[in-house]
Amino acid sequence: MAVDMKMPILIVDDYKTMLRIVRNLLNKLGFSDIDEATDGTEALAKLKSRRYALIISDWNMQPMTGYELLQKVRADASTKSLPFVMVTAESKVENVIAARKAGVNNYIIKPFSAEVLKAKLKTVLGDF
Amino acid sequence: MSTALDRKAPAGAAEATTEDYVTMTIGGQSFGIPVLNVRDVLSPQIITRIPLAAAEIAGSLNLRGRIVTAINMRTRLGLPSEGFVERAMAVVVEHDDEPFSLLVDEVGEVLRVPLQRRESVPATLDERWREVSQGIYRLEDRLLLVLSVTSVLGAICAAPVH
Amino acid sequence: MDDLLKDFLAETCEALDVLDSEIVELEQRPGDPALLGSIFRVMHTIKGTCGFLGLPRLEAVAHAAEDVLGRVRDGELTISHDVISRVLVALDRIKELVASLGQTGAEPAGEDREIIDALRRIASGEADAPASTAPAATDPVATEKKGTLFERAGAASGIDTACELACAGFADKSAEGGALESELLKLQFALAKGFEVALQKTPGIDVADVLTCLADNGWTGEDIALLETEIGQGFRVLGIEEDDIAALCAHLHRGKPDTAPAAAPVPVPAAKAPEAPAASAPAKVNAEKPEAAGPGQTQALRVNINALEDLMTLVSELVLTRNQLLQIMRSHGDSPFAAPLQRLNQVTTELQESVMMTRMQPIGNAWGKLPRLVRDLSQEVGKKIELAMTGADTELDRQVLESIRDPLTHMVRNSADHGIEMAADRLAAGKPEHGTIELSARHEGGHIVVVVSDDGRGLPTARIRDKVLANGLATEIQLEGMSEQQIQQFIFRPGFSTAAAVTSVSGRGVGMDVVRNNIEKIGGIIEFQSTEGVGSRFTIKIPLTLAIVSALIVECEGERFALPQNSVVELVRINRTTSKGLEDINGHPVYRLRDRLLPLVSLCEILGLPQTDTAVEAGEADSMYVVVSQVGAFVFGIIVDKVFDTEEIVVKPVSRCMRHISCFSGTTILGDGRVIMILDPNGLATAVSAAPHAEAAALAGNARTGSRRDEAVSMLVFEAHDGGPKAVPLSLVARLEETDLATAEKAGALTVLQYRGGLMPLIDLDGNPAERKGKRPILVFVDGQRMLGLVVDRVVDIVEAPLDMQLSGGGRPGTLGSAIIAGAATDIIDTVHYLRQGNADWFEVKTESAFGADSERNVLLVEDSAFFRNLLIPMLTVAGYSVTVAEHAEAAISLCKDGGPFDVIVSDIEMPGLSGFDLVRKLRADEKMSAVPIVALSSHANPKDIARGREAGFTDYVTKLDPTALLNVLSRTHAEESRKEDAA
Repeated sequence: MAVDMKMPILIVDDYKTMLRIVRNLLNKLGFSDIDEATDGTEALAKLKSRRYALIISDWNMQPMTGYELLQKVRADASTKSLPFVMVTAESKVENVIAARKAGVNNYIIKPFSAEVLKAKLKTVLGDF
Repeated sequence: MSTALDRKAPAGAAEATTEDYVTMTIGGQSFGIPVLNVRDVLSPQIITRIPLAAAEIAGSLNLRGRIVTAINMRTRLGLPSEGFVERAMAVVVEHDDEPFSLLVDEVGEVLRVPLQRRESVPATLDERWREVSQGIYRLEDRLLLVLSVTSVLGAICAAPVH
Repeated sequence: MDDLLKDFLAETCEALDVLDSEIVELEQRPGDPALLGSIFRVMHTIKGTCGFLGLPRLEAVAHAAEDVLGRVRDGELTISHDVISRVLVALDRIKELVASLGQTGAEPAGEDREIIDALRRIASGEADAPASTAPAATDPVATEKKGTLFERAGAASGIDTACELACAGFADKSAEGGALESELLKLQFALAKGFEVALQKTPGIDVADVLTCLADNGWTGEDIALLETEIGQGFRVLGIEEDDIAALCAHLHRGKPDTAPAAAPVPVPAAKAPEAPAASAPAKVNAEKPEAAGPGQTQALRVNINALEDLMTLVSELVLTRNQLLQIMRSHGDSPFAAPLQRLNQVTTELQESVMMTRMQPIGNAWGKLPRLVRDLSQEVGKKIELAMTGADTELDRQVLESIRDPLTHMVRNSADHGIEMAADRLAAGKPEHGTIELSARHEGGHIVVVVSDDGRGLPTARIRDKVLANGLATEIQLEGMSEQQIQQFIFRPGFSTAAAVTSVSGRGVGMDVVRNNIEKIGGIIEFQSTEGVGSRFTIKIPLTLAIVSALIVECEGERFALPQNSVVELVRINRTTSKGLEDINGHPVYRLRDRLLPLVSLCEILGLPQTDTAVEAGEADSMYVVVSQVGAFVFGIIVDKVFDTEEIVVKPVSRCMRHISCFSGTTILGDGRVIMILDPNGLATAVSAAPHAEAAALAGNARTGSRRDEAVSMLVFEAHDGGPKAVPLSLVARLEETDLATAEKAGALTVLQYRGGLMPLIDLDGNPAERKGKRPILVFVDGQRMLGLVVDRVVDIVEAPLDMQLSGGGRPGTLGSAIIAGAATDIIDTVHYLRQGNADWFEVKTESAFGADSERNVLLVEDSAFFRNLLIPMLTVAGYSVTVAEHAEAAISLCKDGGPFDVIVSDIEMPGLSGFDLVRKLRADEKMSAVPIVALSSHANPKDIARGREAGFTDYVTKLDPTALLNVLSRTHAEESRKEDAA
């Protein structure tokens, strides 16, 4: 499966600095169509208004956590199978397992390099 | 009531070598203030006296909602000033981010003079005048003293009269 | 600086701001998951972002702190003093680093090893032993290459990904792989963690142990070898250099079987270990969910302060324009504009209020740093201090908030440094080991009342005395007659500090005088109370907002001024021709308003306005006004020519060149567009007392503000033959006359003067008949038809002095004692003594008419003020009563139970602890005491007070300053009692 580098990607983080970082890394990998949301509610609204090919969300957000966002995304028929990558700053096995159970496609530990992001995205999207 | 000063010098001509001055007379003497220092020129205003303030402070006036302190330039220069404040023109300047209006007899034209013709203030000039003058130009028909806004206001703000 | 870093700093600073107090709060509420979560999140985010930005120092410190907090969150570590201290230290370092980043755009060079090690030790549950001597976890290659091997491997993220790739590869290639699927993730984690342990030299199971463990669990050598290969491949995919991959793989083989404790509790992945730790995961995740999350959350928007300030300015302009329109409207009567203008008026008011609301901030914002401050101080000075805060959500204007931030901090510092004792001292004094500093805020009318109190040692008066003497603030003689409280007020004097040695805590060159100035600058007042051994208390009253205030517009010599309404008590119109109520005492005008004498200032005089007769010419001469104003407890009158409406004015700062004029607090534009100055009541009050005894009046002023109650009494200060100042409560003086004594007559041994249709005996201070020569002032005392003139040399002044002055029983006849009035030791004369000298029959007549000389009546006098006790006891005794004294209501109650019986009780109303009202209610509840006449004594007796007193059960109500009225009431009460008894 060829990965479309123009695919629309939604990145979610309540920390603006992180949004910029993730955007920069994605740009570096060649992705160009990137939307941002600063909290779960905004993300859900954006998901309703546009069809995204990938969502990358922070785990640790307030008031809605990435985990809760994930659950909501999976609960909605239109986004049930949207590739979802969770960004977390800690690799706690319980959390990742819980996220896996809720349907996360993969997770990525902060901070990460473009190579790591690429490797992780490959496991979700296939080779590019 | 006020006439905004739109008589900026024509642009172009060797800006580094000339300076534009708003000219004014105080007690018959011509003074100039660099045009860039002047915010506004006002016709005579209602001025509220401020009791206990320094003698040079004529009072406060309302300039479109901003409160501006009026300085009696005649008093500042040691000239008699009876009945002066009521009919004085006001030249609005800023000092330390605060607006002041300098009360003068008349406001004249904007004058462009070559900088190299500026001379230092003669030592014979009255101490009060020398203190506030930055230089002097010998024009054809008169002498133009360059007024230093900082010196005019600095002394008033720094050394309050108790 | 690049934008990304700028954003990071802005976001981080904001998060760090709240962290101090949150961490300290956590110590108090260790079980609060939301609080812990919030703190953890900040550290976590900083750590997470720093990695991207290449800020290794910041990242490492935040990481270490996060680890500690994470362990707390997971219940593996309990919050202790030590934990909190370490986290705070880390926070400080983070702040330093962030500050430095903000300045230079780069992390400063330096070492955080000590902080990080300490955090690691805490996290691993070790006691906080001295820093380990183990060198930092460095890699031999690290010196040549950039970063450690761990970092070069892509840190946690890279290792995790490599392990993920390895596990995926392993699953594809191994026969066992398919069966392992559900365990792969755990394997991946164990490997990643193992690498981290190995590379970072943290305690735990390293990757070699993991492989050993796999072997123990039945993995074949082949599978393990395959896994190893895949791990190397994983790193390769991530672009790790080959020699680093070799170094990483070397860690897989570093066998050390004896140190691996078989790791039963560790979630080592193995097909044969069916218990997945995942079971506990959902609970964990739920716990992390903030409780506040939900649809009901209020939406908040961050607005730039400047935008808010601009909005405020615009609204101010709108208010001014509205005022202007209203003014025009008033003079036009009926107009079609009236209705819409009314609406505009209303909307403007609402808009103004709304904008003011946006400027409101909880006072807690000014307290944010205090918990940390107190905690640090308590460690620094080795005391145990708790900070209790109530009313942190009380809101006030941000400008006001800014102005009280420093004073509050200073006061709390003071309490921690000087107030609270060392734990041992506290225990010895029978107090709890922990000292408490209480900070509270509440709304009260248009004001906010903030109280800073502590239960420490109070202000050691002796030390203040010494300091006062050493600094020459007062003389020994002056101090002699001062009450403890008066002496305490010296702390507000410039350059005063109570600390014997300048400590690093409070001795920072800021004195309480600065605190007082700051508070007064924003129209607030500060009062201080202290009881030695019990504690100290500062009470601050400040206006809610500064920007728009209600002001009374007054005029003087044709110039208008605005006087803030909140200091105006009432307005009195005075007829200029009769000048009723106006008196002149030695050149100082006073006004007799009901039962008190107000010192007056003429606004014209203070402002140096030339006095013309224009008002007289204009036919407006017949009246003038006294604006009765109050600053703190000091009440005075301001004479003005005219009074106009009250207007809402927008306060603008006074030009810098006029800021030295203390009479003005601001300037504003009136509705008619005119600029006017806003008067500063504090400045005017100073002018009142500045007259002849500036120093003294300031002192009296201090005493006043510090006075426990607002009671201050006007004392008439005079000089008589021996030159020293004497004083008498002004209210006891009926009139002041100045007479040529040559016109006096001799009547027997007495000197008398024909006065108001009667004969008035004149005596001098020694009680002798006055000499009949010279023009001299006479203090006239009147009681019914009787009069007495006390001839003095000179009337000096009228001074407001606190009532509870210490009277050190002079022993000299005619003197109650001495007190410091107007800065000088002043004899308070015993009026009763003189009245008796002049009229031998004065009191005898009364006692005879009241009751027989044989029937001595028992009076219980309940009065907390020494001054009044000293004034009343001799008077009552002279009048034939047997006086028992209780200094407070509680004592009175026990006296009534055990002592007595009393024929009549005379009680003060305002007392500390139980009030007079409380007392009478309690006594009336006791059957035995239900019928005893109880007379209330109060410094102010308006009809409402009297009604309230009667309701509470008082028989009668008398003004304190009228002792003869008291005697009358007592004899009347007695007469009524006798009648009742006769009737029975």
